[in-house]
Amino acid sequence: MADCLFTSRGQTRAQLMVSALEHTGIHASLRKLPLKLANEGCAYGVAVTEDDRERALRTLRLEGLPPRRVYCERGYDWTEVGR
Amino acid sequence: MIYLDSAATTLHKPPEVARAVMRAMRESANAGRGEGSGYADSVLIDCRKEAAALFCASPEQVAFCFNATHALNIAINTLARGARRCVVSGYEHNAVRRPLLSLRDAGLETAVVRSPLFEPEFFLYELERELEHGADFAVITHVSNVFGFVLPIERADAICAEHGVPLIIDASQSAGCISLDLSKLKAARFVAMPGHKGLYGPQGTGLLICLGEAEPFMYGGTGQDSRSEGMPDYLPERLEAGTQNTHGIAGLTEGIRFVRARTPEGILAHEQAIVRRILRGLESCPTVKTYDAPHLFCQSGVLSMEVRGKPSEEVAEALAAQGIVTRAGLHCAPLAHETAGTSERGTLRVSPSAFSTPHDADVFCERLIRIARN
Repeated sequence: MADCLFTSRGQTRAQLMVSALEHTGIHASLRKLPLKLANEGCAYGVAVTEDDRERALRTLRLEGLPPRRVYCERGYDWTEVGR
Repeated sequence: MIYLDSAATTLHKPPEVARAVMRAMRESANAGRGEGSGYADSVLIDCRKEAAALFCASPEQVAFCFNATHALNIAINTLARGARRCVVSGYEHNAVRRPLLSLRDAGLETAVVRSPLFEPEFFLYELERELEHGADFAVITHVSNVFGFVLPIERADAICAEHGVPLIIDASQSAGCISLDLSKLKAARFVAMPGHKGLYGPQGTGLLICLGEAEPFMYGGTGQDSRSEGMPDYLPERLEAGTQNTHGIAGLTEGIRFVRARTPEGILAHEQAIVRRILRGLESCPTVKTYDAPHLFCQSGVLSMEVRGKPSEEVAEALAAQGIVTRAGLHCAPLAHETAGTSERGTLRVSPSAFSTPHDADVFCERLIRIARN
């Protein structure tokens, strides 16, 4: 189950994040973000499972593709857990 | 038909190109518009990755345009902001000349580096002299669309870097047949190219590779940052307002894959071999004057010529009547003809592609000689 979202600066960046994660064996998918997570309106991010979150973050930073923000699902809402 | 006008557009494409276009027309929704656009999204990122791999760039530096002219307009209008003086080669196409001249009233002066055909050292010497007078940016074509003259772009880039002058490279005639490693260039800010020539994609596609910030030339929806009053502040989305030509881009991806599989060097060698065969075939006809380089490295697979006593348009028309497609006149590059001294008469141009054959060259020579002797 994908329950963490990495926000990105654009769709192309989000696609490259997905590619980098899939390349290292982490299942990731491109997502259109809920508007409440997108201050400027319509934005894209990458969904991963919470189990993969830390490994995914390390991979993305190593690849020079760090997320803007990291959200995880808590109850029925998204909570920011890091940048 | 024998098609020898690939410098205008490659007519024959790898079959995968048409197949990809057809598939995209059946399956592609609007890229970047949310649910249902998954396939279209993958088309765009695949093309960016292929182009980035071909030019040693990052996929985020690859912006989609409608053609090279569109790409050049974005690049020129970005660097022309606040600029007073620009330096260009004497072999530029109207896709460079006209956008620059349109900025003349805004105070932009354009200095032209005049240098003889197939004299790369002379060009570099004159470029340096012009840059010493000061310049805010430079635009240099990698290959002349009229004469196939290969300008020494890496060394020109180094000279621009020494003078702190950002460079726009017009790769309209080189993309797909001459390798360009953008990671090694220092002054290059933009590289503009069409998708439908040496990259074997469909018409209506072009690429602008941005090695620095770029200002939008068009404003509109991007499917992202919708509340923002301006375009996104990141590339490539900053330059991509409106619905993209996803169908064309799907074909372009396959065209670039074809180029990467054959390698630009392999394609260039094939085209040069066709040109050399034409030159040999015309040796026995003194009324045909060819503009060929003394050294192979100076000329791509483009060859201009004149038939003494006959206007180039008449010759092209006579060839077309026999099923041979060439291009006559000024080739949208009056500046190049002025520089080479051929602007009064224009030239007849032949430009083969990866799909041209020795037989094409032989038939062309035989028919041209017959026309020249009549």
